[in-house]
Amino acid sequence: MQNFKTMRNIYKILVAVILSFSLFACSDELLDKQPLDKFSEASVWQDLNLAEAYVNNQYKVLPKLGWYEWIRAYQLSCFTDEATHKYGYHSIYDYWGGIMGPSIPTGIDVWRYHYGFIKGCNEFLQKIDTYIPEDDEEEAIKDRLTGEIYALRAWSYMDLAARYGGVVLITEPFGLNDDFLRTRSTFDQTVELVISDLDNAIQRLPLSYPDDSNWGRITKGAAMAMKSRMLLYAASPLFNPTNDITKWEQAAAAAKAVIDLDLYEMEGDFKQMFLTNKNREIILSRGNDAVNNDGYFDYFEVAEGLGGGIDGNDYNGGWSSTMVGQALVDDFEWDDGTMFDWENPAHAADPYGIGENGQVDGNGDPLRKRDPRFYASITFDGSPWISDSLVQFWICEESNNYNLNPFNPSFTLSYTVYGRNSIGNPKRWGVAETGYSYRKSMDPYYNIDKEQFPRSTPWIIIRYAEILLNYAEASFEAGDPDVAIHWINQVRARVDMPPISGSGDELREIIRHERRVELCLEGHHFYDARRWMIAHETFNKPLVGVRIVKDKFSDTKVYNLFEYEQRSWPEKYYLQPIPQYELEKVTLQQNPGY
Amino acid sequence: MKNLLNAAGRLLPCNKKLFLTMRFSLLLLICSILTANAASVYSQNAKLSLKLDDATLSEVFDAVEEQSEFVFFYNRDYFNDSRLVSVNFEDKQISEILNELFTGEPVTYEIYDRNILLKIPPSISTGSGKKYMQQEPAVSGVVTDVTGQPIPGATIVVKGTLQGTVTDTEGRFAFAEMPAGAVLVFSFVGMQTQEVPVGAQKRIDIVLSEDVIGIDAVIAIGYGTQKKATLTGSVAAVQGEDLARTPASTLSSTMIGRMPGVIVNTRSASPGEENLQINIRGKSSWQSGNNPLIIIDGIANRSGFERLNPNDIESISVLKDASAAIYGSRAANGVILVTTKRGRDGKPTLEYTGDFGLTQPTRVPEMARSWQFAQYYTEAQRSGFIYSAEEIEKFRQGADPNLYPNYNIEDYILQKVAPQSSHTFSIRGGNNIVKYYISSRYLYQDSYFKEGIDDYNSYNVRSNLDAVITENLKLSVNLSARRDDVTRAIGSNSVYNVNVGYTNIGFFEWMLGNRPTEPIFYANGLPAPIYNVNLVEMIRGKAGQKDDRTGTVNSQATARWDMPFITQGLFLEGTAAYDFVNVRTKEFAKSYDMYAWDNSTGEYVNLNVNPVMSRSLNDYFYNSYSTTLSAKLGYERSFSRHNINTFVAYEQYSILYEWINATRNTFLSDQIPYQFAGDANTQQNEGSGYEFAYRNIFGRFGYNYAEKYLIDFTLRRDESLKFPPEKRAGLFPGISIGWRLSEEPFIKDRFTNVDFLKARASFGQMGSDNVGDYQYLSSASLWSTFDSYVFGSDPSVVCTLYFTGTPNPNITWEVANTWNIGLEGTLWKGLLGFEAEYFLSRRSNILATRNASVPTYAGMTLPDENIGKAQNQGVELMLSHRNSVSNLRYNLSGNIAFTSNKIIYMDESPNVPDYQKREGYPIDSWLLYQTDGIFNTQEEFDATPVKRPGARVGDIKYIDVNKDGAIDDNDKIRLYHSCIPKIIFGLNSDFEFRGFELSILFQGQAGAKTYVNPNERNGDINLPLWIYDNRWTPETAESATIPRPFYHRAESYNTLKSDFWLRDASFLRLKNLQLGYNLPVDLISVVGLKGARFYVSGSNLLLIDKIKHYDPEVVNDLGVYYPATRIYNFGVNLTF
Repeated sequence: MQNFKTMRNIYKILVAVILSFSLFACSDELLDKQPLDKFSEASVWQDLNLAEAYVNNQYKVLPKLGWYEWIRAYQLSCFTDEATHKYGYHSIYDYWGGIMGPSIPTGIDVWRYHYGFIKGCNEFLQKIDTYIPEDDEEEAIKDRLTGEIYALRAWSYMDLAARYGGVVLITEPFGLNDDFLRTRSTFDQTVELVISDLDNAIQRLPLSYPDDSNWGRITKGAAMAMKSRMLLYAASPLFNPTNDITKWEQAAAAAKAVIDLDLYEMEGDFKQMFLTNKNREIILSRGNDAVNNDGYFDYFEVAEGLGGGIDGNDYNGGWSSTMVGQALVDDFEWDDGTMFDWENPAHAADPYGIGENGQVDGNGDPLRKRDPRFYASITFDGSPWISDSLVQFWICEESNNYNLNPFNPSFTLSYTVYGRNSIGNPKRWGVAETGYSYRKSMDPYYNIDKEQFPRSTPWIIIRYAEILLNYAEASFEAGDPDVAIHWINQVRARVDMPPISGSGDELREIIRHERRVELCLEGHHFYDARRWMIAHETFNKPLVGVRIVKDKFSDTKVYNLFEYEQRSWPEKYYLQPIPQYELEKVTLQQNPGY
Repeated sequence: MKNLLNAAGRLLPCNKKLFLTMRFSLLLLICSILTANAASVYSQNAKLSLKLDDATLSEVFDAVEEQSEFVFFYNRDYFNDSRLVSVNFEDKQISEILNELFTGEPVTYEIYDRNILLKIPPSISTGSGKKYMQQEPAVSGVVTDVTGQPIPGATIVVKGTLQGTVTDTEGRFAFAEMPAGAVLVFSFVGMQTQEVPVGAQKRIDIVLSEDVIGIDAVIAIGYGTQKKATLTGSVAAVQGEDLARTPASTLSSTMIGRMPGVIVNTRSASPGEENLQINIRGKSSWQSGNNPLIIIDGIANRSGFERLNPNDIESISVLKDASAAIYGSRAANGVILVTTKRGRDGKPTLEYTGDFGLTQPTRVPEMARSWQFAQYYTEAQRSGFIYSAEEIEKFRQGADPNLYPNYNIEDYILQKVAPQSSHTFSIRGGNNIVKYYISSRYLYQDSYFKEGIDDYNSYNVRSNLDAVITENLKLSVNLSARRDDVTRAIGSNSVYNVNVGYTNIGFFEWMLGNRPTEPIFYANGLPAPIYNVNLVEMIRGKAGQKDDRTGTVNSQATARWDMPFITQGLFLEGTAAYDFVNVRTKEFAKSYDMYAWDNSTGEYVNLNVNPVMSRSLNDYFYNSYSTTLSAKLGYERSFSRHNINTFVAYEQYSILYEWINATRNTFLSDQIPYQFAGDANTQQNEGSGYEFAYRNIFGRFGYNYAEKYLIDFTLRRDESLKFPPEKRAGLFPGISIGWRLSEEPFIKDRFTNVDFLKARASFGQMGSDNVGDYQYLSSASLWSTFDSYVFGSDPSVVCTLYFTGTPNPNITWEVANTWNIGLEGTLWKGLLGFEAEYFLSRRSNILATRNASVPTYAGMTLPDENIGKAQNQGVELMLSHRNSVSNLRYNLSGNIAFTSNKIIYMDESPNVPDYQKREGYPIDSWLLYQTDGIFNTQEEFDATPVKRPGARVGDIKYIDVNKDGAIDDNDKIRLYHSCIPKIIFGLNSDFEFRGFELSILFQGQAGAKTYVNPNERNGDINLPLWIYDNRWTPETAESATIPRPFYHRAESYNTLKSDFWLRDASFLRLKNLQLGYNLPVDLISVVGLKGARFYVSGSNLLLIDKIKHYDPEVVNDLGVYYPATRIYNFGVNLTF
């Protein structure tokens, strides 16, 4: 009886369970959800607007002014004899201590960075063909986007090759369960891929974009200019040990092809050229918009006290991060073409050629004595900032026991007066300790106090002057010095520097010197000094700065050079190490010396 | 055979277990708190069938007791048992049976759950029983609980005899005669037993307090309740009133030290933004997080656990083993169940609890003064920070506060003590139709900062109602609403730390880095800039403030429908919960007056030249809506000694949240912080949304035979959106068994001191889905405009889109297989209680990325994959002792837990050396350089062949572990330590003496190491004094323990991650101390109070550890964090 009752109850329970769950049976849409903050992959390849947004994202591989990116832009100078970083960003102390290695790859390591972007390019190239254009216009857009991607992938491989030599060539995206093992290709194979990608891009890209809003996109000319740079690097001693002349010829031809486009020309105003978003000299640049750019650049680079010059409030802001060294300063000629020389008392008494009391001409420029590019590239004691405000990097000593070497333990200071922007001023923190700071792309009208966001200074990635210098160098090495002299003088003529002449090794030095001065602090020398294989000599020296001591009675200044930073540059640095984080995962041939 | 009181109020011989098996109204109160409880309705659910002819009433009672869990209590003296009755009932409630039995009789009855008290008026009692003798009782009194409520049905026996009685509905009792030297033993279910020597007393009033570890206590388990006696899983429980003893503003701080195996570490104590890390039995996974699932009143994923008012909490249960398996896919890290208080029978009780506390940081490292700073960096030859001896002397003298100041930054920034206070009002009461608990709280907490605007205000209301709609239908409604206001001065930014998530360290970081060689204020009182800011002015809110206002509404309704018309014990329960969270953040920044002083001219120049430009406003709005719906069909019934407790249930959960963000700059005025007042040209906005859902079916089958052999089986099927449709569902079984040895004759008869002894074992398979959503989909996100790209000759932002990562179409749960065995018991009536457990948890399918073996050149953003395996095992012990010595009642309890985890398998780089592999080491183990002190002397330096380039005397001496002649990454080795302690312990003691109460809680940990190296941030900023004092200099070469002064940015040499900086984080804390006094009832009843209690308490009062300069729970490498709080508190609790 009891058992029967229990059975009956259990039956009732089951019925009740089924009934109650049927209440919820209709709620299948509960789990049928898609992300609300993302697009599905399929939609990206079915919509050209999304595909273009995808390509836009790949452009971020290009350097710009500002956080994170500056290490691929002007702050590469800190890894050359041009400059140093005041705050030791990017592990520059490890670099100059000679201990860069696989486990200390320092801030110049771009292995992970580029392969991330390369993966994005590969993904695009694999998937874009699933898009079926509806008309010619769409076909053209698809083609153009494909060209941009090829050029961007080439940019990454070019940079990798120029730093590491031959790298692992990945041209298709990996799946999660693929075999990941690959080996390094040779340098030549890497260059081959870069050139073939660029040829693919050149084929697809327009000479220019009809709409100014597309300024900054890669054009046919930009891809050709990259090709010129890649071939020049490939022909250089570091990568062309046998000095195969045909490589120089190819490099010269590639540069000539850009010149022959007849699209570009040298801008008249060297200084202003860096500050305008669009001009005829720019082949490829990355813009900043006034609102959204990360406005750290000016703030980090302006010398302390300069930001607020307009209102006479010079106590605010400015970090002087990138401090230029004396070696670069000394490389600027006098405007008559003679070299600067500390041994010459006239030079040493007025090294910046600005005359007494910082006389300026009607335009607010100093009385020009040295190569005008000096004044446009470097901030120094006496350089004008905002028209009426002259930079003061001097100190005025009160007694004579001032020891110029800050590394000397007996160093004592007893001065009480400081130049507005000078080291030692107790209110000064962001001062340029070498006596020079970076200027080239800086807007002298930037005012930290006034501007929540800085102006929109672009970073110029490739400009016409580089192509001319590429052409000159390649022509010279290929055995055509006259062409070289012609184009070097074109570059000099823009800044009213007297023409040069010469031949043989002397001419090679002139060409290289011109390139160093014209393209200084634009990141080029990091590549140039290595590909010319001069770095082990020119970089293995302390970075020198200047202390300017002003006499408190006569206002005369004494320029005391001092070793700011000890530097060691082992020959293994010609190529960067394959980083340890990669070697832990996969066995790759390491570069020599590491 | 069950229990009867005999004629003389004596117990029948077989009733030794009376105390343990009685179930009374308190039980009912506790049980009624739980929506899912069945006990409260036993008398209505239990249906009886009886057929007896010509039986005496006692025979009828016996028959009822045999068939059910009911127990009769009555005084045989007055009871006429000669009357013969014939009964024939089928499926009747007990009340129906009793009504019929006593029709026409002067007998009334009251039912307290399963206990039936028969009341027979003495004057009219008839029959052959002894006559009532009118005489003055020898001893009488009232038994009440701590709130002053009378306790009906409490048992009082004369110790060592069988003589005893039971209190009436008013809690009164009386003994007609009392032997000399008698000791009365007062006991009641769920209450601590008390013994009182009678002596010459005629009246004995007793207050019984709750017995927190009483084996008959009922504790919350997943989707139900269980008596501790018959519990088969590993569940730690703590009562709300114990939690309320720790005067902390976060709920998990009050849990610290009270539950074995529950590790709570305070990683930051910033008011309103505290970071407390809870790990149940340590860690088992490394990527997906180890946070336990938190259930508040039966609803999962509710926000605001930390913000619950401890006074509102009835109890917290922590499910540590397979008992959590009923929560399936989210149970692997353990489950915390919070149960809030509910109404109970009786007149309304109004209660006020007020706490007034003063807080201060437990530890703040003392920083170097200006002259020490100058000395250090001069020794370090830091360019620009080199001072002459005269200058350093000027700093030391501090006579020139503008140029050579000497001040202690903490004097400017920290207040001596920061106030906090809370006020809770609650009303609790009800009748058999409606019961209610309504409370409100206001909490205020100030920050440590002197004159700082940082603070926290919280407003909280709760209303928990239970109503009986019809005989079979009950409704419970919970509503709680809370507003949390956190005010922060701008500059106090949150910082992300991988160990602890976002923590607020802002001003502490500033303070501990302040360059002391520059004044904060000039001699004339004007604020001065350091790094272009003035820290003190910022703390005062001059740079603007950020207001976070969070509104939370939790609502839920549960209807329970008993279906005795189908079968006894069957019920259907439906719950709907809807939670709404709204966050509004307003951040208004501005510039403030700060003066530059030109020492050549003596001028002070205000740097605040353009306040308009710097005013900016950021508004952030966030709303989330979450819904939980569940239905449960349950069946709870006893057939003779077979007890069944089973249910099946369905539950679904969905959440939607949306946010928008808007910004404008250049506000003309700082009067109105709203967007319209800013420059429209600068406006920007962002916004997005998110949706998520779970669907679950689960059930429990619990069975026990005579509460002796216990088994509990649960099964859950979960579907989670985090995984692809075909991998979405998972099955999670859990089984546990128990054996109450103390019920077995061979224990019961032979070892009479054993009151309770139970062995139990469990196995469960649980999941963890604590990873990013939609990783199985390939999807693309848009970068925000802030992180975009620009094109155009007039540059403007374009959309940029990126794939969020390589999809993993196979992603699914982490699986934890957890075994647990335990033995628990009580001996000598509570003089010794113990609980011992061993657990083993093996986690597989651990979600982790294959970062280690997929080469970087693949360029992939890897998804989580189910590739890891880990093991976690440990032992937990708990010992307790409770006793009364005359008027002193006390209990002591200690718990200790040992846990150790290790990684069994993970994706590791094939090319790293074995001694760096993580396999076999604890999750979070350290990979560090090995060191051997510092190079104290040149001889020592010269004698060491292998050194890192650049090393000098006074530097750290690294060990060339692999003997390759170079100190590099390959010399790091893996250490068997982490910041998660291997041993945690708590020691709790409570004393009660004539209205005084003292409770002391010690708590600590061992086997944890933490990394603190403030040198990693040296440079231009200050250093702690302990670094300065112990630094290497040529003079202190022999004794120095800290490396020579250096400038970090130039030399990474002494800041490599090494064991030099690893500290033992073991500690013993006096976590809580409370001394309370209950005013005598006689005294306060005059003013209408039922109870008044005053107490002083403190938290983190004493700390014994090895770290010294920092709180040992610090997990910030640099030693910058908002330290844990020491609290001195005064409180009052009034009951009306």
